[in-house]
Amino acid sequence: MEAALQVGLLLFVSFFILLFIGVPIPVSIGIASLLAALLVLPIDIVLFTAAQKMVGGINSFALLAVIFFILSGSIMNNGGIALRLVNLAKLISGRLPGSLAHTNVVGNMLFGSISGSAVASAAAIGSIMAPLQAKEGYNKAYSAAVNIASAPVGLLIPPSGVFILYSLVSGGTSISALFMAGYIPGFLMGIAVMIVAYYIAKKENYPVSPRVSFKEAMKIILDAIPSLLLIVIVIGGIVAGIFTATEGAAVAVLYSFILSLIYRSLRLRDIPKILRETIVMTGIVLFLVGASSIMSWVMTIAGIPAALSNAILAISDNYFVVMFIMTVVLLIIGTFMDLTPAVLIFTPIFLPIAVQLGIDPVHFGVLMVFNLGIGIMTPPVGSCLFIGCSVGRVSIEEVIKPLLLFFITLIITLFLVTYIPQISLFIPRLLGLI
Amino acid sequence: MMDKLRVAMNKMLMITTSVLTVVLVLGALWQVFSRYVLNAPSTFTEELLRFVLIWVAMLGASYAFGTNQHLAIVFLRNKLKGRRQQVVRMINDLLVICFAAVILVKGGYDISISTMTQVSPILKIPMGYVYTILPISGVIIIIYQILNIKDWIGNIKKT
Amino acid sequence: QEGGNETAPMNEGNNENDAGNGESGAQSFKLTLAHNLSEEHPVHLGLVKFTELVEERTNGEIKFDIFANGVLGDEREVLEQVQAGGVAITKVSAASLENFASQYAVFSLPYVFMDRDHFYRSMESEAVRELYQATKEQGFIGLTYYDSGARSFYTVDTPIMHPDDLKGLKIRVMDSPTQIELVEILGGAPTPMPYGEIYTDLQQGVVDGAESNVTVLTTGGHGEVAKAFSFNEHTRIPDIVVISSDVWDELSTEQQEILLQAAAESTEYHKEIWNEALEVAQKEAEEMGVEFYYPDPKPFREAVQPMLEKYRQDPQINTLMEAIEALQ
Ligand code: NA
Ligand code: NA
Repeated sequence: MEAALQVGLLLFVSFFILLFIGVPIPVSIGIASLLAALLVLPIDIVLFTAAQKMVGGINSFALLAVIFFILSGSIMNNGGIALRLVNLAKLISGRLPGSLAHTNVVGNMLFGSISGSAVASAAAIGSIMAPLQAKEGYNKAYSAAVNIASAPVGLLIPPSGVFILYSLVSGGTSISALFMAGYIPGFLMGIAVMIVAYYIAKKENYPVSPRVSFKEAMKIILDAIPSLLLIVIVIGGIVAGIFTATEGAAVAVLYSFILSLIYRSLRLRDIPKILRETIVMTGIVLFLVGASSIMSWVMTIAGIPAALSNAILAISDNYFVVMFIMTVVLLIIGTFMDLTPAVLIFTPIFLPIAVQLGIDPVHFGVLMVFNLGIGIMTPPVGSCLFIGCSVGRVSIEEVIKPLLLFFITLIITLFLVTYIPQISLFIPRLLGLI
Repeated sequence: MMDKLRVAMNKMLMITTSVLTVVLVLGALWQVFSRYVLNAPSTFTEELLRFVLIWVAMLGASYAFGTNQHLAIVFLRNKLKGRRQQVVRMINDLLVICFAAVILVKGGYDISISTMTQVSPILKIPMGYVYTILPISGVIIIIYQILNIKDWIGNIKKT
Repeated sequence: QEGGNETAPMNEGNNENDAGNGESGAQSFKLTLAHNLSEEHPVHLGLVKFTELVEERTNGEIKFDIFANGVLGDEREVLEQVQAGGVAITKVSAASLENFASQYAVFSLPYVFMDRDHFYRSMESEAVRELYQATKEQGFIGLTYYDSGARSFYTVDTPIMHPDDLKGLKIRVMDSPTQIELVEILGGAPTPMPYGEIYTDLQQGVVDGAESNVTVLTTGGHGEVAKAFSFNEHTRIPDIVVISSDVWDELSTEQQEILLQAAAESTEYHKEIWNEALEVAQKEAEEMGVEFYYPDPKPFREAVQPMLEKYRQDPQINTLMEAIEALQ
């Protein structure tokens, strides 16, 4: 207990100091872990094991899905597929007030159901939608806010790279179950954004898109089918047992590659750039995974997760109170930390507490991703915010005010998903996955 | 001279990792094809792809140090002015070098040597070869960091 | 000499030098013991028994920190930490030890043991005690073995009564060339997969079956998706309890004796609770709706002969196999 306190204090204090002076996050994790481990173990063993954990963290077949999702997202991002999905989204959301805002949300939901990355979605859909909305007189900051608030739906709607990371750090929660659990919360997230968009559109008198003819509608649907087929192939293939989730991600790469070649939105000379983006992103994410496994090793040998969970449960063992505390803490963490490191660092700490309260690890995974998904749209650190502002050509300061209402609605939705586990667990239970 | 070194390293890293990434995609597809279509599941891909991924990830991460793309919280540091900011920045860069030197180079070297007599279950290659990527990427990161420090100090002197 | 072993002399940190306690003049140690099974598993209970006996008989000179559930890493990683001296004792499947000393492959070969008693006799023989020393230079030696049961095929719904029944079936195997060869020579399609994926892969039909002992049906939950378990009993792959060579050399001869004796006694204790666990698992699995089949092992035994002949080309493996055959 005493060792846990000492090691834990040194670990977290040094980690946050390093973090806030701007040391890269994986390096902050690594150095803080080293310092803390040296309290209990000799240096040779610490360095040996730290190096081992760095590789051990990455040495997992499931993590291949991360590089594949980034690669397929990057291929889809090159136009073609995204454009056809936006056209379909326009058709679906056509007659609502402020149609184009809804189109943006539905576009992100569609893109999210074939891609595993929120940032790719914000970039792909946002860059198509922003000029269209500007032409119809939408406020630029408002359009950007809608895009930023709805891009994270793709984290919850499968396939999702972050669920795969969660599955690993949570000790092997079923990826299929997590994927299926993400559907309804993902849709709710989208609908929450649409409700706010509807309210603002009414207030600002934003236009309704003209009705499209039946012939046009058919053309748009037929056009989008090959892209949508990706859902059938990837999710269907996983559920039907043709391939595993990881292999499905590789199939998504192949399919989106062929499709983009057919659409001529991808030229062979774009390939080196796409590969470079993919490799750098993968390196960044997996280096974090490796560094985080050093930290969880140090926390384990010092008994920190158990000590922390005892401390929190000593304050209260009431399900509502503890979940409320954890939700608020994660929301605060999400403001200044990106999704991936936050999931990697805080899952091993919070999950044991949640499990003691009787929460299903699948449900908790959805909560982590939903919560930290809100985090990526807030300043000061928010990947989705940054991308959304850059493709929407607005400054962060401008977008804060319109974003606030979305932010509040999403937090309310988050509490709904937190306290009604059936929202997450209904589909995986239906399919007998949990 | 220094610029040439950086360009050469960038190019070498990208060519190597691009080839390995293509291997990853083709390997995973082959695994599906051999099992589902040929009904003769590939037995070597699972292990091979894991090892290749480790190499791609570590080399990709090294490249990201060279281009300053790793996630970091810089808004507080950016609030500092002039000399103070430079000092903090120098501390940052030195900490990265320290991390690379002790964990990746020293720890990685130790474990590579220690596992040279242990072979991987399927491919029967010494596990030490898999771990060698640690000291290799450690050295690459240190070189990149030194280049980065030279660059920004050079820029300050100019202005 | 291995650098990793050299760099971590025992008395630097893993043990607490406790001068005041040294009536016998021997050093005091705090040893780390780690494994990857749950705290209810017979292996854990066996290891706890071992640590209790050692602590008692050394009057507390040797104490233990136990890490269960794989929190320090998977089997291979913890074994590497044993080599470096960061962890003192762990249990490893003999199948993993193939990658350190090739003779251990004998235990992964099919139908090497006639039955459970032959297996026990062999594992307690002089030949195996010698084998335990084979990895001394690599940083660890064996202390004792724990029975890990006979491994058999189980599938979603096809009983395996004869090797022909495996034709065209995709069978998940461990990452091990001998297991791949075994399934191949019996006519199945071997599919290496991570253990954690077996459940969903069986459920969704990515593979048709797998192979293990009956406890996998209950503790692994595989009985929910695999309904036919056939006791063809192709292998008996023991778990080996190993200790870091550096730690071993630090101990006094008396302490080493105590450890060996306690290890052997914990094996006897483990046998009891393990065999009970197998019976309980089979009963529970029956309640889950799993059907059990008892094929004649003879055609299986005949089918694998070419494989055994091939491995016997290795003189070290041949010597060990002859020693085991002599105990039939
Ligand atoms: Na998605
Ligand atoms: Na944020």
